[in-house]
Amino acid sequence: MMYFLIRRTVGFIATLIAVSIVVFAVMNILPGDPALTILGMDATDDALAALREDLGLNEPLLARYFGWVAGALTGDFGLSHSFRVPVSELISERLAMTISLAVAGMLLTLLIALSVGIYAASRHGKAGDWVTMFISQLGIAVPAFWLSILLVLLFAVNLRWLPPGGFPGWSEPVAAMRSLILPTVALALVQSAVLARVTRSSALEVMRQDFTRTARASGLSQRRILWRHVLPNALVPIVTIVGMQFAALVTGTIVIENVFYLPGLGRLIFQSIANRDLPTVQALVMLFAIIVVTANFVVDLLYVLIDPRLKARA
Amino acid sequence: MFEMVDVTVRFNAGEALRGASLRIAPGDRIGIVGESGSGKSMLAACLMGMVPDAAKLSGSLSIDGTDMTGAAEATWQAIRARRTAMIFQEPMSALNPLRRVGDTVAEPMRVHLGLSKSDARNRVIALFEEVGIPDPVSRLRMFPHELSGGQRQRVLIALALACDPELLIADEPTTALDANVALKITDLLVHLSQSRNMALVFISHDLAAVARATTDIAVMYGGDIVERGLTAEVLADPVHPYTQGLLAARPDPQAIPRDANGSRRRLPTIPGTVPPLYAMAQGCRFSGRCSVEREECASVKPMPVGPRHATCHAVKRGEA
Repeated sequence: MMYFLIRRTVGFIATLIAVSIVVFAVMNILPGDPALTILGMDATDDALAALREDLGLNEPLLARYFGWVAGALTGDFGLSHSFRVPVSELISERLAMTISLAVAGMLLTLLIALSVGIYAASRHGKAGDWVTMFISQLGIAVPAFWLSILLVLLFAVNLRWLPPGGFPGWSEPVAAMRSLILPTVALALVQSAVLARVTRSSALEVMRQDFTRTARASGLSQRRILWRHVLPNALVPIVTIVGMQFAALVTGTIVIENVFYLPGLGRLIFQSIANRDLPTVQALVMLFAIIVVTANFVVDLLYVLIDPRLKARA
Repeated sequence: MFEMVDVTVRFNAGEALRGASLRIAPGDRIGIVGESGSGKSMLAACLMGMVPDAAKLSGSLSIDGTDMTGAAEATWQAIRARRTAMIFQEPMSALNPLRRVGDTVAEPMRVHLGLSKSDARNRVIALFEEVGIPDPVSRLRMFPHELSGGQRQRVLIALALACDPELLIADEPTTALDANVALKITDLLVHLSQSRNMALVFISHDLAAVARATTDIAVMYGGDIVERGLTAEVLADPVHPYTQGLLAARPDPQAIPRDANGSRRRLPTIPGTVPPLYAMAQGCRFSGRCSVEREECASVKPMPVGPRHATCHAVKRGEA
């Protein structure tokens, strides 16, 4: 068990180092002068030289890499060019928005997908199964941004129940929550369509196993068998997909925040790319990568919590 | 008292159980023997209310006079564990792998009897002692994969006993176990049946185990009960050609003498295999494999005759 934890932690750190090298390389080694990229083709030589000095581009590559990593470890990602404030400040202002969106989206996804998936499995081959799986097939086919627009048209424009976009700030908690409802739903619906199907097929697999029959022979109700015996045993493939989906949700906020005008990291990365704000883009890409790698690390640990047999083998 | 009268289980492909009748009184120990596909497990499923949805059930099944033939799943949920309980062939896969065995055994008590956590725990410990699990206090915290096959089967027996059932059905309880462990489990089931005055239906194709465990026997073939009687009498003097074939195929060192060269003759077998449901004969289902078969056997269903209720035209004519 200890060996497993150490091995996974070492793997986690190694992945982060590899990611940081790739992110740095893509931004700095690829052909093209970052200063030229930022200032554009019409920039004067003086301005370019000044910016190169400013960005530290004149220093050797390795020194720049280690400088960037050392800064990142202490939360210093340098100065944003377009916003003229430290990148860390930009991120910390917006992190709460993106994390709330992703976490709320994930929770809603789990709520919908597990209920629908278990329901469909319990109605295997019957009308309820067919209908829910047909709807989930539609859900997979629909792109999130298009669904967002439909949701806005229905609930904000026609029914006027919810704001169409924008964010009033956390100082008004009720209004803030209201403005996050539609984006959360838009994020969750597509993901839950995928996860519901995974839940259904994994649950069906477990329902064929002998211990489900034992539970039934013990006079337990179908509901109890499904939620207390089948679902826990179906979790390993579900958790695998959830880990990948959390990553998809975090990156999915890029689209959703732009559709709904929400001040989060997704919108920031979009603006920074448009503004050719290299330090900000580099920091954000790294941050998204860290979130994805961390999600996978947590999934690995969850496997062992779910299944005691893995603990013995790990 | 459990009573099945003329119970038939019909699938689209054919009848998995054909007019089976069986009475089970408290303390009875009844063996059900037959090959795979003979309908043994379907008979057990009837007694548990666990016949597959795709099947049509006819005839009558009653518990203490209450008709259960068309009973709803919810009605059966109240019967299972408290009145009828069952253990299965595969102790390796019959336990939820993610649960501590103590929690698995405690669950029906908590659900059906409304016991508190600590009361249930105490009963689990007592049950583990009753079924011969050493050091029950530490065993109940273990997961199935930490126990041996024999220990797991004991856990499953404890689970079946959790709510004091009147009838325990053991479906091939020893098939997956080592010979000496199988013997101990068989003796345990007999002991439990006697000490609790609990009826035992012991399903097996192992004639030695059935002889050891039961007082009465029903021999099944192709969904029919072909012969029944006291276990000792049926095994000593079988009347149905199928039972005779089954007994002749039993490897018994004493019964097979060596010839002049010191080698033993080959063990006789019943020719052919049990046909699939859709290919079963309309008449006697053993026709096609039977040594005393006559013309009418394949088309006319033989009615039970004599004290053994043998379903055989030859027995009826006094030929077998």
